[in-house]
Amino acid sequence: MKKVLVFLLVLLPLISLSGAIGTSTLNLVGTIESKSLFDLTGYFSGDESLRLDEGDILVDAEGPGVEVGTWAVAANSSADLTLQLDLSATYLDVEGNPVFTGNVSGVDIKIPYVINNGESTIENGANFATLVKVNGTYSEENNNGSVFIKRIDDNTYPPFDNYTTEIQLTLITN
Amino acid sequence: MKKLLTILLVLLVAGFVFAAAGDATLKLTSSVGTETVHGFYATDDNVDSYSKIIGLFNGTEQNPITSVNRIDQEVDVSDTDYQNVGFYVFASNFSSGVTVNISTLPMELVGSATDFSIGYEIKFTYGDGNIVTAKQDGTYSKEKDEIDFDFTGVDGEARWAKYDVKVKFDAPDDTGLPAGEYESTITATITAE
Repeated sequence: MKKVLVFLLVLLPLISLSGAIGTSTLNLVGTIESKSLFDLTGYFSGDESLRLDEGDILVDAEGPGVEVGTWAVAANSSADLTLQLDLSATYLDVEGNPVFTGNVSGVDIKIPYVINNGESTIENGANFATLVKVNGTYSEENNNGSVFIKRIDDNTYPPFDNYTTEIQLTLITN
Repeated sequence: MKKLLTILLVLLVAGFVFAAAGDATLKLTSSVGTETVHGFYATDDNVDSYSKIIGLFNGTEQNPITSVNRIDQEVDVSDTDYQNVGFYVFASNFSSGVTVNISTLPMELVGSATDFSIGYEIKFTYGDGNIVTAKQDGTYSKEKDEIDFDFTGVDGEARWAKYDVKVKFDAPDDTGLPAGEYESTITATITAE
Protein backbone atom coordinates (compact mmCIF):
# COMPACT_ATOMS: atom_id res chain seq x y z
CA MET A 1 0.00 0.00 0.00
CA LYS A 2 2.80 2.40 0.77
CA LYS A 3 4.35 1.83 -2.64
CA VAL A 4 1.11 2.78 -4.44
CA LEU A 5 0.78 6.06 -2.57
CA VAL A 6 4.31 7.06 -3.39
CA PHE A 7 3.75 6.56 -7.11
CA LEU A 8 0.57 8.64 -7.09
CA LEU A 9 2.20 11.56 -5.35
CA VAL A 10 4.94 11.65 -7.93
CA LEU A 11 2.60 11.44 -10.91
CA LEU A 12 0.17 14.16 -9.88
CA PRO A 13 2.57 17.12 -10.37
CA LEU A 14 3.51 15.83 -13.81
CA ILE A 15 -0.12 15.54 -14.89
CA SER A 16 -0.98 19.04 -13.68
CA LEU A 17 1.72 20.57 -15.83
CA SER A 18 0.66 18.79 -18.99
CA GLY A 19 -1.90 20.59 -21.13
CA ALA A 20 -2.21 23.57 -18.79
CA ILE A 21 -4.63 26.22 -20.06
CA GLY A 22 -4.98 29.90 -19.29
CA THR A 23 -7.49 32.39 -20.69
CA SER A 24 -7.08 36.11 -21.15
CA THR A 25 -9.77 38.42 -22.47
CA LEU A 26 -9.95 41.84 -24.07
CA ASN A 27 -13.27 43.61 -23.78
CA LEU A 28 -14.16 46.06 -26.58
CA VAL A 29 -16.77 48.76 -26.11
CA GLY A 30 -18.25 50.92 -28.87
CA THR A 31 -21.23 53.18 -29.27
CA ILE A 32 -23.65 53.90 -32.07
CA GLU A 33 -25.11 57.35 -31.62
CA SER A 34 -28.79 58.01 -31.97
CA LYS A 35 -29.67 59.59 -35.30
CA SER A 36 -32.96 60.75 -36.71
CA LEU A 37 -33.51 62.02 -40.22
CA PHE A 38 -36.81 63.78 -40.67
CA ASP A 39 -37.81 65.42 -43.89
CA LEU A 40 -40.96 67.40 -44.62
CA THR A 41 -41.49 69.00 -47.99
CA GLY A 42 -44.34 71.30 -48.90
CA TYR A 43 -45.54 73.17 -51.96
CA PHE A 44 -46.99 76.31 -50.52
CA SER A 45 -45.06 79.24 -51.86
CA GLY A 46 -44.08 81.06 -55.01
CA ASP A 47 -45.11 79.68 -58.34
CA GLU A 48 -46.28 76.51 -56.65
CA SER A 49 -48.71 78.30 -54.37
CA LEU A 50 -51.91 76.46 -53.89
CA ARG A 51 -55.26 77.27 -55.48
CA LEU A 52 -57.92 77.31 -52.77
CA ASP A 53 -60.89 77.57 -55.06
CA GLU A 54 -60.49 74.60 -57.37
CA GLY A 55 -59.48 70.95 -57.52
CA ASP A 56 -59.18 68.36 -54.80
CA ILE A 57 -59.03 70.92 -52.03
CA LEU A 58 -62.71 71.71 -52.37
CA VAL A 59 -65.02 70.34 -49.74
CA ASP A 60 -67.08 68.39 -52.24
CA ALA A 61 -64.11 66.71 -53.94
CA GLU A 62 -63.57 63.02 -53.42
CA GLY A 63 -60.60 61.72 -51.49
CA PRO A 64 -58.52 63.14 -48.64
CA GLY A 65 -57.92 66.46 -50.36
CA VAL A 66 -55.00 67.95 -52.22
CA GLU A 67 -51.51 66.72 -51.50
CA VAL A 68 -49.44 69.59 -50.14
CA GLY A 69 -46.36 67.79 -48.92
CA THR A 70 -44.53 64.62 -48.10
CA TRP A 71 -42.72 63.41 -45.02
CA ALA A 72 -40.18 60.69 -44.24
CA VAL A 73 -38.46 59.48 -41.10
CA ALA A 74 -35.32 57.37 -40.71
CA ALA A 75 -33.99 56.81 -37.22
CA ASN A 76 -32.07 54.33 -35.11
CA SER A 77 -33.32 55.62 -31.79
CA SER A 78 -33.70 52.96 -29.16
CA ALA A 79 -36.69 54.92 -27.86
CA ASP A 80 -40.10 54.83 -29.48
CA LEU A 81 -40.84 57.73 -31.81
CA THR A 82 -44.09 59.36 -32.80
CA LEU A 83 -44.90 61.94 -35.43
CA GLN A 84 -47.17 64.63 -34.04
CA LEU A 85 -49.14 67.34 -35.79
CA ASP A 86 -48.38 70.74 -34.26
CA LEU A 87 -50.10 73.87 -35.50
CA SER A 88 -49.38 77.40 -34.40
CA ALA A 89 -52.23 79.30 -32.79
CA THR A 90 -51.75 81.87 -35.53
CA TYR A 91 -53.20 79.39 -37.99
CA LEU A 92 -56.08 78.09 -35.88
CA ASP A 93 -59.60 79.41 -35.67
CA VAL A 94 -61.66 79.55 -32.51
CA GLU A 95 -62.90 76.02 -33.10
CA GLY A 96 -59.38 74.66 -33.43
CA ASN A 97 -59.49 74.17 -37.18
CA PRO A 98 -56.38 74.98 -39.16
CA VAL A 99 -56.88 78.00 -41.36
CA PHE A 100 -55.37 79.98 -44.18
CA THR A 101 -55.12 83.61 -43.12
CA GLY A 102 -54.98 86.79 -45.09
CA ASN A 103 -55.67 90.47 -44.55
CA VAL A 104 -57.75 91.77 -47.40
CA SER A 105 -58.50 95.50 -47.41
CA GLY A 106 -58.00 95.66 -43.64
CA VAL A 107 -60.17 92.64 -42.91
CA ASP A 108 -58.68 89.43 -41.48
CA ILE A 109 -59.90 86.48 -43.48
CA LYS A 110 -59.65 82.89 -42.25
CA ILE A 111 -60.34 79.93 -44.52
CA PRO A 112 -60.69 76.73 -42.48
CA TYR A 113 -59.53 73.34 -43.64
CA VAL A 114 -58.65 69.89 -42.28
CA ILE A 115 -55.43 67.94 -42.45
CA ASN A 116 -55.42 64.34 -43.56
CA ASN A 117 -52.63 61.76 -43.56
CA GLY A 118 -54.17 59.85 -46.45
CA GLU A 119 -56.27 57.65 -44.24
CA SER A 120 -58.02 59.93 -41.79
CA THR A 121 -58.34 63.50 -40.60
CA ILE A 122 -55.80 64.44 -37.95
CA GLU A 123 -56.53 66.91 -35.19
CA ASN A 124 -53.98 69.39 -33.94
CA GLY A 125 -51.74 67.78 -31.34
CA ALA A 126 -52.63 64.25 -32.41
CA ASN A 127 -50.37 61.51 -33.71
CA PHE A 128 -50.06 62.10 -37.43
CA ALA A 129 -48.81 58.66 -38.43
CA THR A 130 -47.83 55.42 -36.76
CA LEU A 131 -44.13 54.91 -37.27
CA VAL A 132 -42.93 51.40 -37.98
CA LYS A 133 -39.86 50.02 -36.24
CA VAL A 134 -38.24 46.96 -37.79
CA ASN A 135 -35.13 45.32 -36.34
CA GLY A 136 -34.80 48.15 -33.88
CA THR A 137 -34.75 50.93 -36.45
CA TYR A 138 -37.10 53.20 -38.35
CA SER A 139 -36.33 52.99 -42.04
CA GLU A 140 -37.38 55.64 -44.54
CA GLU A 141 -38.81 52.87 -46.66
CA ASN A 142 -41.28 51.95 -43.94
CA ASN A 143 -41.93 55.47 -42.68
CA ASN A 144 -43.07 57.96 -45.27
CA GLY A 145 -46.28 59.48 -46.45
CA SER A 146 -48.12 62.51 -47.67
CA VAL A 147 -49.94 65.45 -46.16
CA PHE A 148 -53.33 66.33 -47.59
CA ILE A 149 -55.59 69.29 -46.86
CA LYS A 150 -59.21 69.92 -47.70
CA ARG A 151 -61.45 72.85 -47.12
CA ILE A 152 -64.39 72.30 -44.78
CA ASP A 153 -66.80 74.87 -46.26
CA ASP A 154 -67.84 76.11 -49.67
CA ASN A 155 -67.97 79.76 -48.70
CA THR A 156 -66.81 82.40 -51.11
CA TYR A 157 -63.79 84.40 -49.98
CA PRO A 158 -62.37 87.59 -51.44
CA PRO A 159 -59.72 87.16 -54.12
CA PHE A 160 -56.21 87.41 -52.64
CA ASP A 161 -52.90 85.95 -53.70
CA ASN A 162 -51.27 85.66 -50.30
CA TYR A 163 -53.40 83.50 -48.04
CA THR A 164 -50.93 81.66 -45.86
CA THR A 165 -50.86 78.75 -43.46
CA GLU A 166 -48.30 76.58 -41.76
CA ILE A 167 -48.32 72.87 -40.99
CA GLN A 168 -45.75 71.44 -38.65
CA LEU A 169 -44.97 67.81 -37.92
CA THR A 170 -42.81 67.11 -34.91
CA LEU A 171 -40.79 63.94 -34.33
CA ILE A 172 -41.11 63.11 -30.66
CA THR A 173 -39.10 60.71 -28.54
CA ASN A 174 -41.34 58.95 -26.05
CA MET B 1 35.39 -5.20 30.05
CA LYS B 2 37.52 -2.05 30.16
CA LYS B 3 39.95 -3.56 27.68
CA LEU B 4 37.22 -4.24 25.21
CA LEU B 5 35.96 -0.65 25.29
CA THR B 6 39.41 0.71 24.70
CA ILE B 7 39.88 -1.41 21.64
CA LEU B 8 36.59 -0.30 20.13
CA LEU B 9 37.36 3.40 20.59
CA VAL B 10 40.73 2.99 18.97
CA LEU B 11 39.24 1.25 16.01
CA LEU B 12 36.59 3.91 15.51
CA VAL B 13 39.10 6.74 15.57
CA ALA B 14 41.29 4.88 13.18
CA GLY B 15 38.34 4.44 10.86
CA PHE B 16 37.69 8.19 10.66
CA VAL B 17 41.31 8.91 9.96
CA PHE B 18 41.40 6.52 7.01
CA ALA B 19 38.19 7.94 5.61
CA ALA B 20 39.49 11.52 5.74
CA ALA B 21 42.19 10.62 3.34
CA GLY B 22 39.68 9.86 0.47
CA ASP B 23 37.53 12.23 -1.86
CA ALA B 24 34.29 13.84 -0.67
CA THR B 25 31.51 14.91 -3.08
CA LEU B 26 28.80 17.43 -2.40
CA LYS B 27 25.96 17.09 -4.92
CA LEU B 28 23.64 20.08 -5.36
CA THR B 29 20.34 19.77 -7.17
CA SER B 30 17.92 22.50 -8.18
CA SER B 31 15.06 22.99 -10.63
CA VAL B 32 13.49 25.78 -12.68
CA GLY B 33 9.75 25.94 -12.34
CA THR B 34 7.57 26.15 -15.39
CA GLU B 35 5.94 29.47 -15.99
CA THR B 36 3.78 30.93 -18.68
CA VAL B 37 2.26 34.39 -18.57
CA HIS B 38 0.08 36.05 -21.16
CA GLY B 39 -2.47 38.76 -21.53
CA PHE B 40 -3.71 41.88 -23.31
CA TYR B 41 -2.03 45.19 -22.53
CA ALA B 42 -2.84 48.75 -23.43
CA THR B 43 0.76 49.80 -24.18
CA ASP B 44 3.89 48.06 -25.35
CA ASP B 45 6.07 49.48 -22.58
CA ASN B 46 8.42 46.91 -21.07
CA VAL B 47 7.28 43.99 -23.15
CA ASP B 48 10.33 43.53 -25.38
CA SER B 49 12.01 40.63 -23.60
CA TYR B 50 11.16 37.44 -21.80
CA SER B 51 12.18 38.77 -18.40
CA LYS B 52 10.28 42.02 -18.82
CA ILE B 53 7.08 40.25 -19.73
CA ILE B 54 7.49 37.90 -16.80
CA GLY B 55 8.14 40.96 -14.66
CA LEU B 56 4.81 42.44 -15.62
CA PHE B 57 3.16 39.68 -13.72
CA ASN B 58 5.18 40.02 -10.53
CA GLY B 59 2.94 40.12 -7.56
CA THR B 60 0.36 37.91 -9.17
CA GLU B 61 -0.03 34.32 -8.25
CA GLN B 62 2.30 32.25 -10.37
CA ASN B 63 0.36 29.26 -11.50
CA PRO B 64 1.65 27.23 -14.40
CA ILE B 65 -0.14 29.83 -16.50
CA THR B 66 -0.97 33.34 -15.37
CA SER B 67 -3.41 35.47 -17.35
CA VAL B 68 -4.56 39.05 -17.21
CA ASN B 69 -7.72 40.57 -18.60
CA ARG B 70 -8.40 44.03 -19.97
CA ILE B 71 -11.80 45.62 -19.97
CA ASP B 72 -13.49 48.55 -21.62
CA GLN B 73 -11.16 49.24 -24.54
CA GLU B 74 -13.09 51.87 -26.44
CA VAL B 75 -13.38 51.58 -30.20
CA ASP B 76 -14.96 53.76 -32.86
CA VAL B 77 -17.35 51.54 -34.77
CA SER B 78 -17.79 54.17 -37.46
CA ASP B 79 -14.05 54.24 -38.27
CA THR B 80 -13.24 52.02 -41.25
CA ASP B 81 -9.46 52.15 -40.70
CA TYR B 82 -7.55 49.74 -38.50
CA GLN B 83 -7.65 50.81 -34.86
CA ASN B 84 -5.02 49.75 -32.37
CA VAL B 85 -6.69 48.20 -29.37
CA GLY B 86 -3.52 47.25 -27.53
CA PHE B 87 -1.09 44.38 -27.45
CA TYR B 88 -1.12 40.69 -26.73
CA VAL B 89 2.02 39.40 -25.05
CA PHE B 90 3.15 36.07 -23.74
CA ALA B 91 6.24 34.48 -22.29
CA SER B 92 6.74 30.81 -21.53
CA ASN B 93 9.51 28.46 -20.59
CA PHE B 94 7.54 25.33 -21.24
CA SER B 95 9.98 23.07 -23.05
CA SER B 96 7.53 21.87 -25.65
CA GLY B 97 6.04 25.24 -26.50
CA VAL B 98 2.63 26.74 -26.25
CA THR B 99 -0.31 27.28 -28.54
CA VAL B 100 -2.68 30.22 -28.41
CA ASN B 101 -6.18 30.19 -29.73
CA ILE B 102 -7.95 33.48 -30.34
CA SER B 103 -11.71 33.57 -30.49
CA THR B 104 -13.94 36.56 -31.13
CA LEU B 105 -17.59 37.40 -31.19
CA PRO B 106 -19.33 40.29 -32.95
CA MET B 107 -20.00 43.42 -30.95
CA GLU B 108 -23.50 43.09 -29.60
CA LEU B 109 -25.99 45.64 -28.35
CA VAL B 110 -25.96 45.69 -24.57
CA GLY B 111 -29.25 45.06 -22.84
CA SER B 112 -31.19 44.14 -25.94
CA ALA B 113 -33.45 41.12 -26.03
CA THR B 114 -32.91 40.98 -29.78
CA ASP B 115 -29.53 40.27 -31.28
CA PHE B 116 -28.01 43.31 -32.95
CA SER B 117 -24.38 42.97 -33.82
CA ILE B 118 -21.49 44.76 -35.52
CA GLY B 119 -18.93 42.68 -37.30
CA TYR B 120 -15.27 43.52 -37.37
CA GLU B 121 -11.94 42.27 -38.56
CA ILE B 122 -9.19 41.54 -36.07
CA LYS B 123 -5.49 41.42 -36.88
CA PHE B 124 -2.54 40.26 -34.80
CA THR B 125 0.83 41.45 -36.07
CA TYR B 126 4.14 40.02 -34.86
CA GLY B 127 7.35 41.89 -35.66
CA ASP B 128 7.75 42.50 -39.36
CA GLY B 129 5.24 39.93 -40.37
CA ASN B 130 3.26 37.00 -39.12
CA ILE B 131 0.05 38.85 -39.72
CA VAL B 132 -2.85 36.81 -38.60
CA THR B 133 -6.23 38.08 -39.55
CA ALA B 134 -9.64 36.86 -38.68
CA LYS B 135 -12.66 38.22 -40.42
CA GLN B 136 -15.63 38.55 -38.18
CA ASP B 137 -18.46 39.77 -40.30
CA GLY B 138 -20.88 39.14 -37.50
CA THR B 139 -24.00 40.21 -39.29
CA TYR B 140 -26.69 39.02 -36.94
CA SER B 141 -24.52 36.05 -36.19
CA LYS B 142 -23.22 34.74 -32.93
CA GLU B 143 -20.80 32.31 -34.50
CA LYS B 144 -17.36 32.44 -33.03
CA ASP B 145 -14.48 33.18 -35.31
CA GLU B 146 -11.22 31.57 -34.31
CA ILE B 147 -7.62 31.92 -35.28
CA ASP B 148 -4.78 29.81 -33.99
CA PHE B 149 -1.16 30.59 -33.25
CA ASP B 150 1.60 28.08 -32.69
CA PHE B 151 4.39 29.80 -30.86
CA THR B 152 6.75 26.86 -30.80
CA GLY B 153 10.22 28.03 -31.70
CA VAL B 154 9.48 31.72 -31.59
CA ASP B 155 12.56 33.60 -30.44
CA GLY B 156 14.66 30.54 -29.67
CA GLU B 157 14.44 28.86 -26.33
CA ALA B 158 13.02 31.74 -24.35
CA ARG B 159 9.65 31.95 -25.93
CA TRP B 160 8.05 35.32 -25.81
CA ALA B 161 6.19 37.49 -28.26
CA LYS B 162 4.38 40.76 -28.55
CA TYR B 163 1.57 41.14 -31.02
CA ASP B 164 -0.07 44.38 -32.11
CA VAL B 165 -3.81 43.89 -31.97
CA LYS B 166 -5.96 45.92 -34.32
CA VAL B 167 -9.60 45.87 -35.29
CA LYS B 168 -11.36 47.26 -38.33
CA PHE B 169 -15.04 47.89 -38.80
CA ASP B 170 -17.19 47.99 -41.85
CA ALA B 171 -19.01 51.30 -41.48
CA PRO B 172 -22.48 50.43 -40.38
CA ASP B 173 -25.29 52.25 -42.09
CA ASP B 174 -26.14 55.52 -40.36
CA THR B 175 -29.44 54.20 -39.15
CA GLY B 176 -28.96 50.51 -39.85
CA LEU B 177 -28.50 49.53 -36.23
CA PRO B 178 -30.18 50.74 -33.07
CA ALA B 179 -28.35 53.34 -31.06
CA GLY B 180 -26.65 52.18 -27.91
CA GLU B 181 -23.55 50.59 -26.45
CA TYR B 182 -22.09 47.54 -28.13
CA GLU B 183 -19.62 45.14 -26.55
CA SER B 184 -17.44 42.30 -27.67
CA THR B 185 -14.88 40.05 -26.01
CA ILE B 186 -11.72 38.75 -27.61
CA THR B 187 -10.51 35.66 -25.81
CA ALA B 188 -6.97 34.30 -25.94
CA THR B 189 -6.65 30.77 -24.66
CA ILE B 190 -3.06 29.61 -24.20
CA THR B 191 -2.25 25.95 -23.91
CA ALA B 192 1.09 24.60 -22.76
CA GLU B 193 1.70 21.00 -23.80
